[in-house]
Amino acid sequence: MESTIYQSSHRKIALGLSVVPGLGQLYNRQYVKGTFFLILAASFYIVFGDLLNMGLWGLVTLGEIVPRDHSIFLLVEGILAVIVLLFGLGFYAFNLCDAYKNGQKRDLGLKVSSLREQYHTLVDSGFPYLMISPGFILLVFVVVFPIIFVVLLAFTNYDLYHTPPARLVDWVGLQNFIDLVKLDLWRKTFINVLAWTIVWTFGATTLQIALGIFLAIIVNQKDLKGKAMIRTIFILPWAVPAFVTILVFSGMFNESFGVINKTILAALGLPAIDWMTDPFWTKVALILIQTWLGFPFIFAMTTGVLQAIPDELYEAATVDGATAWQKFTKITLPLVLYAVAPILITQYTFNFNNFNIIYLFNGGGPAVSGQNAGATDILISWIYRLTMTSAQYSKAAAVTLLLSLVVVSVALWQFRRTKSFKEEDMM
Amino acid sequence: MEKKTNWIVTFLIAAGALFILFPLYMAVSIALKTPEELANSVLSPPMGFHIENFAKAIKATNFFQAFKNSVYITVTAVILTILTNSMVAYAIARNMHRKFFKFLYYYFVSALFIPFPIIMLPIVKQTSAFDMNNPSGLVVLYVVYGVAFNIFIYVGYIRSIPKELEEAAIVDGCSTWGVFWRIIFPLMAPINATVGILTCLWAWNDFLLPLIILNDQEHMTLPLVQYVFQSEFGTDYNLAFASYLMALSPMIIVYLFAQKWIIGGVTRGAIK
Repeated sequence: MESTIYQSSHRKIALGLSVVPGLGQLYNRQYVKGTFFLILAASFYIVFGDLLNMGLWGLVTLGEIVPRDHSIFLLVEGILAVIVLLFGLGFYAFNLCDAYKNGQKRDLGLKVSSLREQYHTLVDSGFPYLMISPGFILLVFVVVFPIIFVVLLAFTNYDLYHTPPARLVDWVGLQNFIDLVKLDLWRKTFINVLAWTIVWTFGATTLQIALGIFLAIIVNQKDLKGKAMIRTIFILPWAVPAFVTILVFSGMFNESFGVINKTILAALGLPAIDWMTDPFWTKVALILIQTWLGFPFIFAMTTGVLQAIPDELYEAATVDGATAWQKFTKITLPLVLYAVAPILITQYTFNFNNFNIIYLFNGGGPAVSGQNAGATDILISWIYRLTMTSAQYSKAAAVTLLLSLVVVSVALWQFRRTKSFKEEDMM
Repeated sequence: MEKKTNWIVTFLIAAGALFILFPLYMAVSIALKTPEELANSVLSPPMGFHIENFAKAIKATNFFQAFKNSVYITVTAVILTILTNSMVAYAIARNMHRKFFKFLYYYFVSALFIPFPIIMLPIVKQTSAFDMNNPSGLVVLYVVYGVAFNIFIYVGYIRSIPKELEEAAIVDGCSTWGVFWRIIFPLMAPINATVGILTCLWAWNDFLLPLIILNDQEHMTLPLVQYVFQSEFGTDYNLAFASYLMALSPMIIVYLFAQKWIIGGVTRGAIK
């Protein structure tokens, strides 16, 4: 339609020449830019040519000869090669597009912008890009890259018996997932760990939330003296680094020396409890400790909300003859829950991933026969155990993958519902 | 009736306070006792001030080295996070009408949904391959992993700053760079404080990331060295608790002085 306006076909020639990056720009008489593109493309090829070649080959075969090929390095190089290739293609597309656009400008009889002008537009409009690119690239390497790595690893047989450089790692398809379902050891462990993770997440979190809200409402009573000091005390556990508290508790719960068994229970005339070796009591202890650790945060949040509720609401309710209980259930509770709901959900995800408490209290123990996770291992600490101590990398990757599918879908689902994520409400 | 409610409430609060202070009291009193005192009675207050527990604990954990590492990691992570993440967020927030930047926003924020275990193993291999298994490497990881959440709260905040200010500055001949540093950055002080406090708490208290990244004894952070008492000094409670006390005191002191600030900052980050 517009082609009638064009007096020449510079745009097509430029596009065609740009098959070799830079030539199109040179043709458009943008000499500096063209040379720069040419050098960039050449160096890209020289620097990454080997990596691309080697990486793609490695990604498919994972190595062929034992001492020469290190499967995991080949896998890493392979992923890198794919990422580099994508960046390269992006640049290539930009180069084609740029040559075509400037050619079009010439066809229309417009002046192609000079180097000085280009520099200015680059500085002005390129500023946001400049700020973003380091973060963008870093995120590729510390988030995107690892995800691809784990996903690929789940389909290999990388474990203690297939550890480079002595042995090669191979693609095994869905074998890891089949093992998780079919082999008794794995199936039992997986189900037990999953069940405890769910109990742990809901039990510990709900308890800490309930306690936090309850105490906040109590402390917020009008006729209470010394509120400031009480609040400081109640928020104190939050100020103490969690790792220290857990270690202190771990000492207190010790079966033979700890103060709980030795002094408190003895004073009450109760027998000592196996806090560290009986799976049930270990779980109880963990939930109690997490409640202690977690409630101050909820307490602080709820206190903030309570102080923002206008007195008029209560006065109006009193005028209407509402009882104290009605005021609580009809005014206080709904307002508090509405305001803190988004935080409550982050509390659940926090506990789902709460590695510190499980690991520091007694390392996920006690051990259980017939499974390769401790009795109190949650998914994250089990994965840690598989990768860091027993070198079951591929199984760990498979478990991670299953877990992530669940977590990511739940998180996305709940986040789509929170208002602040929707663009209209982002003010 | 007034009196009765008061009594119940007072009782509940006293019980609650006891419940909270007891472990802290234990930590302090055991740290100050001698093993003999501890053996006689766990609950009784310490008789004297036993500095030798602390001296021994400092030796056992190489306290000052660990403290230095923790301070270095936390301070650098906070400064770099505030400087870089606010810039990225500014660039995104003011270009959200463009498709590419909207994509970038979702790209950054979607990192929030990645469960940490999924990247744990590759990160370990990668950091050792790139020689990043040291405090500086850890700082980089904190800055980058913080990006997702920080961008989320920064962008929301920047969009509430009126654009007219920047337009006026540009008319007066200010460059984009200048606009950011002279106008936007100072205006972001409250949200910078929030991000700074959250990053500080996270980096100072973090256990998992240092545990998997650092493997040189010289690089250990304060949380990591405490773990030594779980195994090696299993029964020497005086020593262990003295060390715990030293590890927790810096944060308690900061907290007591900056209580209002911290709570305000965190609440602002959480409730929008």
